[in-house]
Amino acid sequence: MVKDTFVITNPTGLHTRPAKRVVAEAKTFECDITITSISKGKVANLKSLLKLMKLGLSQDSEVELSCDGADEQAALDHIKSYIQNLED
Amino acid sequence: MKGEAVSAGIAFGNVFILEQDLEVKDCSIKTCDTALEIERFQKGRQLAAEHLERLVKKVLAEMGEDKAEIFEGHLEILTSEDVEEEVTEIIEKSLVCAEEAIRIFAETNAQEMEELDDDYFKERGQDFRDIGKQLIKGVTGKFEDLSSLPPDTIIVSQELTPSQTAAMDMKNVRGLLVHTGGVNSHAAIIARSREIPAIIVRDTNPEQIIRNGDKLIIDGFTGDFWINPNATTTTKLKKKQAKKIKERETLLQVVSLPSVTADGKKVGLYANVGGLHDVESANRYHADGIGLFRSEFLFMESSSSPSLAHQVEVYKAAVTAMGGKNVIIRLLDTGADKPLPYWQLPQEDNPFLGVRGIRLLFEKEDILRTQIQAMLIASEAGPLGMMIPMVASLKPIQRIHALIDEEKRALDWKGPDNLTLGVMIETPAAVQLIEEILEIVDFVSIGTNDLTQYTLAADRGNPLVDLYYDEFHPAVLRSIAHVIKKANKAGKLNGICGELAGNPLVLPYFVGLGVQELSATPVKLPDLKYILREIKAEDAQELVKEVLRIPTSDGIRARLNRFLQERDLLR
Repeated sequence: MVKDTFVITNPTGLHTRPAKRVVAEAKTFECDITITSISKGKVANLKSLLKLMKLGLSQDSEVELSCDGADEQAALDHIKSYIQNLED
Repeated sequence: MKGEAVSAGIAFGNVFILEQDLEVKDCSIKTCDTALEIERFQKGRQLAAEHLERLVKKVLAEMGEDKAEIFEGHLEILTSEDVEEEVTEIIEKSLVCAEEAIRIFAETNAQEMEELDDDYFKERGQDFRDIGKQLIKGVTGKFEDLSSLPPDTIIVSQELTPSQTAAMDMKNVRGLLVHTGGVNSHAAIIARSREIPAIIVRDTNPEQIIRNGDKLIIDGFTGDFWINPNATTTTKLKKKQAKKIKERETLLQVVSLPSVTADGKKVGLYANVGGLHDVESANRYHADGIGLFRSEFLFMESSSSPSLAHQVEVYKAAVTAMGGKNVIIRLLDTGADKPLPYWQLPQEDNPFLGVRGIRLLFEKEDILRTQIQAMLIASEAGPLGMMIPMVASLKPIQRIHALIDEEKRALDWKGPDNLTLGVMIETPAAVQLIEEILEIVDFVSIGTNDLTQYTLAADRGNPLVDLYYDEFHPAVLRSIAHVIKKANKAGKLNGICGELAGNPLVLPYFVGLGVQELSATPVKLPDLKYILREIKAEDAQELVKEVLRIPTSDGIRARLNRFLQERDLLR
C-alpha cells in the first residue's frame, strides 16, 4: 500500500462536478483507492461519488490518499496530480 | 359552477392536475416480498434516470450549462452502485417497500450532508432529497414535469407553491384553478402578473369533479367555470373574450399618454415585477418606472442561491431596459411561508410574525452582502433603489447603510452615485416612526398587503379571516395618509406598491393625498392611467378630507364609488 498527504486547492473543493470527474479517473485503476479527510478523520472509497461528496472536502481541506493493489503507485501519482490540477 | 375570480380574462384549455408532493406511508413488507420490491426499485430507477436525462438536455438548451450540471450530478448519483447497494440493503434489513426504502436512504444522506460545516456542501443535502423524490416518482410512475406542459393547459391544483410556479412552463399555461388561498395568494399574484385568468374554488375540492384531460373554460372576470362545456357555452364565452380583448385595445391607446391628472398633476404609474419577463410588459404598458422588483423569484428559480454574476446580470438588464427610469428592487423577502429549496427554515407557528424579510437576511449575511454588491454594481447602468422589507425599527436601516459602505470600500467603488436606499412601509411600527425613517432614507414605499394584515391583525393567507382583512379599513387608509403627508413634507420620494395601488376605486384618494408614484401589476396600468387622466387633483383633495372622516370601510367604499360614478368612470 502507498499513501500521500496533500491539500485540496481548487476553490469549490470536491463538490458534485469535480468529484464526479475524480471518481471517473479513480475507476480506471484496479487497486482500491480511499481518501481520508484528516480534520474529520473520515475515510471514503474514491470510486464512489456519493461517499466522496459526504466527506465534504472543501478548499484547504487536508487529505490522505491511499492506494492498495497491483497498480497502486501509478494510481497514487495520477489521482494526486489530477486533484491538484482541478481548477474550478 | 362558480369560484372567486382573482385574475381577469377568459381561458379555454385542457386540464392538467398538479399532484401534491408524494407522501410515503410507512409500508412494511414480508421477507418473501423483498425480491419484488428490489425489482420495483430497479425498474423505477431506470425510469427516473431516463427522465433526468431528458431534463438535463432541456435545461442545457434553455438555461445553459451551469444549471444543467446540477441535474447531471443528480443523474450520476442516482445511477451509481452506492444507491443500489444502500436502498437494497434497507429493503432487506428493514423490510419496507421500495418507496419507503428510498425515502429513508434520501433522508439519511441529506442529514449527513447537512451536518457538514461548509455551507455549499450543506446545501447539497437538498440534492439528496430531490434524488429521492425522482426515484420515488420512478417507482410509482407518477412524474410531475412542469417544465414542459402541453399547449393550452389549465392547471388545476390544491395550491401553487412559489417553486412550482418558477419551474412551470408558463408559455403553455392558459389559466389556473386552485382550491386554497385568496386574492393575494401567491398563485393569484403570479396569474395577474402573467395576465393569465385564474379562479379560486374553495367550497368543492376541484380534484373530485375535474379529471386530467377534461376540457375547461374559466372566466376570470366572474369566477365561473365549465367542465367539458357544450357548444353554446363555448360560443358565448368566445364572444365575450373577443369583446374584452377589444375593450383592452381601446385602453391600450391611452397607455402611451403621460401620467397626469386632467388639471396637470403628475403621478408616476410604476410597475410591480417578478423578473425580466415582467419588465418587458412594464415597458409595453409604458410604466414610468419599476416600483417593486420582487427579487425572491430569482432566488426560487434555482436549487442554490443565485451567484453574484447572475444577480448583476438580471438587475442590470432591468435597469437598462427601463432606460434611466427609476428601478426599485426589494431585498430578498422570504420567510417560512415562502421557503426556498436550499434554505432550511425553522418551522414557526406564526411565520408572518416571525423571521422574515430583512430579519431573515441578517441571519445569512453572505447572501445579503452578495445581493447588496450585485445591486451596487448594477446601479452603474442607471438609477436603482434598494428597498428593505419588514422594517419595524431604525436599526435594520442603519445596518444596511453600514453594509453598503463596507461593500463600496471592498469594491473600491468609484462608479456613479445611482444607488438609493428606501424602506417598504408595511408595519404599524414603521408608520409611527415615519419621520425618523425619512431622515435616513431616500424613499419610502407602502406595502399595503402586509400593512393591512399587521394593522388589522388578520392573516392575509387565511380565508377564515378574509372578512377582517380589509384594505379599505379607515385605520389602513389613515396610516397611508400619514406616511404620504410626512414624506412629501420631508421632500422624499414616496409611493405605494401593494395590491391596493392597482385598485382604480381608491386611485382618486391616493391622488388627493399627493402620492408621487403608484406601482401595480403592469396589466392594471391602462385602467389606472385612464382614470388618472380623467380626474382633477383638486377634486381628489376634497375627497380625501371627506374620506378621512369616515369611520367604516363600507362608508369609505361607498364614497369612493360615488366619486367615480359621478364622473362616469365606474366599471
